[in-house]
Amino acid sequence: MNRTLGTRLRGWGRRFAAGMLAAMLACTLAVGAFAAGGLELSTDYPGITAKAGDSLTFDLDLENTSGAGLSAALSVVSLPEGWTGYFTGDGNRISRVYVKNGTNDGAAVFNLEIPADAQNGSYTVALNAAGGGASSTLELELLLDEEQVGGSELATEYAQQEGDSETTFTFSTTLTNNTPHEQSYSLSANPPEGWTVGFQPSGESTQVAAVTVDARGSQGLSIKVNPPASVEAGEYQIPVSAVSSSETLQTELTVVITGTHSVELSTPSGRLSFDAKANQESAVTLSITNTGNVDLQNLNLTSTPPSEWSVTFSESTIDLLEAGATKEVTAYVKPAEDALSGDYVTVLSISNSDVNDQAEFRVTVKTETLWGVVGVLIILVALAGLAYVFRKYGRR
Amino acid sequence: MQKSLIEREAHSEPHRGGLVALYRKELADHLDSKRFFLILLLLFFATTASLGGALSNLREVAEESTTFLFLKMFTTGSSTIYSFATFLNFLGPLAGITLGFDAISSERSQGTLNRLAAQPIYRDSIIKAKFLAGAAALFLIVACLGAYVSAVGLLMAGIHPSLEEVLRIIAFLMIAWVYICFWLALAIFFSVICRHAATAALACISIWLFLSLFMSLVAAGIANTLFPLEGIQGLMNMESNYNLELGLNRLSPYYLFSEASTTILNPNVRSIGVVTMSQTVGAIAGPLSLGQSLLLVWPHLVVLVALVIVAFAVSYICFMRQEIRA
Repeated sequence: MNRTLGTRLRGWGRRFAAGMLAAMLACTLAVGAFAAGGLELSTDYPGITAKAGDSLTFDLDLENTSGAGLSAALSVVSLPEGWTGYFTGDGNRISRVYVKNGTNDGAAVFNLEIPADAQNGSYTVALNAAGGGASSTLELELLLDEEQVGGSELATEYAQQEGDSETTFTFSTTLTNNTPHEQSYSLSANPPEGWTVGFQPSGESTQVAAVTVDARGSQGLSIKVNPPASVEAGEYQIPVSAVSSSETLQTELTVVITGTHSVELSTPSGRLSFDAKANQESAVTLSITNTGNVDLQNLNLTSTPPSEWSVTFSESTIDLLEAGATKEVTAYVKPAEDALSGDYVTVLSISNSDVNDQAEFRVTVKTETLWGVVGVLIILVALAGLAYVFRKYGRR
Repeated sequence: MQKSLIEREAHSEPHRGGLVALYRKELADHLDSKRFFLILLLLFFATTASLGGALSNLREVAEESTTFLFLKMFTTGSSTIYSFATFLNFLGPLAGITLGFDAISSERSQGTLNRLAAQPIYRDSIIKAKFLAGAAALFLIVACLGAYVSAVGLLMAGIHPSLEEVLRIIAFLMIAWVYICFWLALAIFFSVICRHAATAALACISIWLFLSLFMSLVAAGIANTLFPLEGIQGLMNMESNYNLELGLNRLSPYYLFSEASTTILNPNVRSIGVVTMSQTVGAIAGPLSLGQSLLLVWPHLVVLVALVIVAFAVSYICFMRQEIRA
């Protein structure tokens, strides 16, 4: 912070050095009211706004009009309680500076450190340069104003993300505490019904409900957002807030759900096998579920049965299947007349231009037990014949 | 025949017409006879040989498929030795013939038949008791052999049968028993109509050999004569030729039992006739349940049972119409 401010100050100083000469003179006259002899201490911007905890640097200019170079002693005349200030030149702490005749821009730097617990308000720092019988005093006016410089914030890098209903959206968010006190923020989100939002400190996998942020510190947060499986396509706003005892920070995450087309063909029980008898229709209830988040239209049911089998559906086309809806359709499977006993595979599929799904059914063809009964009857007839023979010829 | 015993028992249970007494006596005679012992020994050796083949080949069979491994004990042979099911198919009839071929004729030639008929017992009890005792003895033989194979499978191969396998083995043994009972009934029939036991034995054995060995040749010959397989016409005839040959073969109880035992002992058999290409489309390998296997060969089983009933009924009629002279 102090570097950027210093660089900024220096940069501006150089850029406007020539153009601002007249203004500088007026300013110097106004500020350097106590200038005496031939020495004048000045800086480009003697009045600035800062905030508690900042470190500031001021480039000091010394003008020597005495006609000869002199060595000037630098001192801090007055400094608010708890503040620290010192002079540096070429990276060293200094107490005196040699002032050549004429203008000496940037002859020394005054470093000022404002304590973090400094109250808002207006402060004055007085500096003095004295040498060769001349002395000059510079007063710096500092206005501490927290709000103006920027308060705590909750900032998200990419606040708008897009994906389908299966996606877990991760938002990289930074929670910055710009107060001079350590604060505990409780985190909350207000997502639409069915959504889940979780907060994780960056680099950790623990879900947290609150984080503590050091004074003037920041904490990275990963906000994970899971949409419900049945979410419809569209844009969703998720307000997220971090509330501490003194602050309420808010941000808004935007999730754009793209449409997914998906359909599932199964049975209500999930069982994909059934028994059938040769040349007889068996009814199988199919359940067709729209597992996407977009309505499906014109779904066609088709089948690839073994040869000479027939498969018909109570409804071979479904005009409209709403997102998340399930529809039951009955399939009538009729094995071939000469189908072998045992297992066959029949594939039933559902499709439209966007989606398709298929289910492999294991059809166990069973022999008609009627023939077993006929066989038993034949044996009974034979036994009856035997009984007749016994009666006719027996007991002689 | 120790007639005094029969007479005494027949007197003690007059209300049954002596059937129970005669049955007990006949069964005791069978179990006591050298003939029963010899045929049991023959079948025992044949079974042991087939078990040797099965045990040496079981490892290869298990590599192909491990399901229903216990049943493989009954159906696996080696290149030189038949399986147990095949041995039973071929040698089983011999047991039936052995126990029945002189049932009536020996009584007649020894002159004991008229003495027996003079007892206060119903005359039909004699032939009923002879058949029932023979059937009971055959049941013992079949059960012993089945238990022997199962025990060796458990001990030597260390495989445990599942409930399905146990039920299939029981079904197979019952069918084998019915099949052998047919030969018993046939042998009793010949013992009724033939005056000499040797004639009856020869008649039975010739029928047995014809149905077991030559029926397939005859069937193939007739089928090839009616539906020649030569030339372009041969391709057209192929199905009719096969169906005719199969139909003729199925006239033989030997073939019926072999199809039935194959189906019962191998749950993967799904058809016993011609399988067309269109029938196999979409079919996936999977074992049938016992009920389905039984339904597949149900006609065979019905025919086997009916054959036993008919053969016994005919021999019964013939016996009852005969004069028993002193």
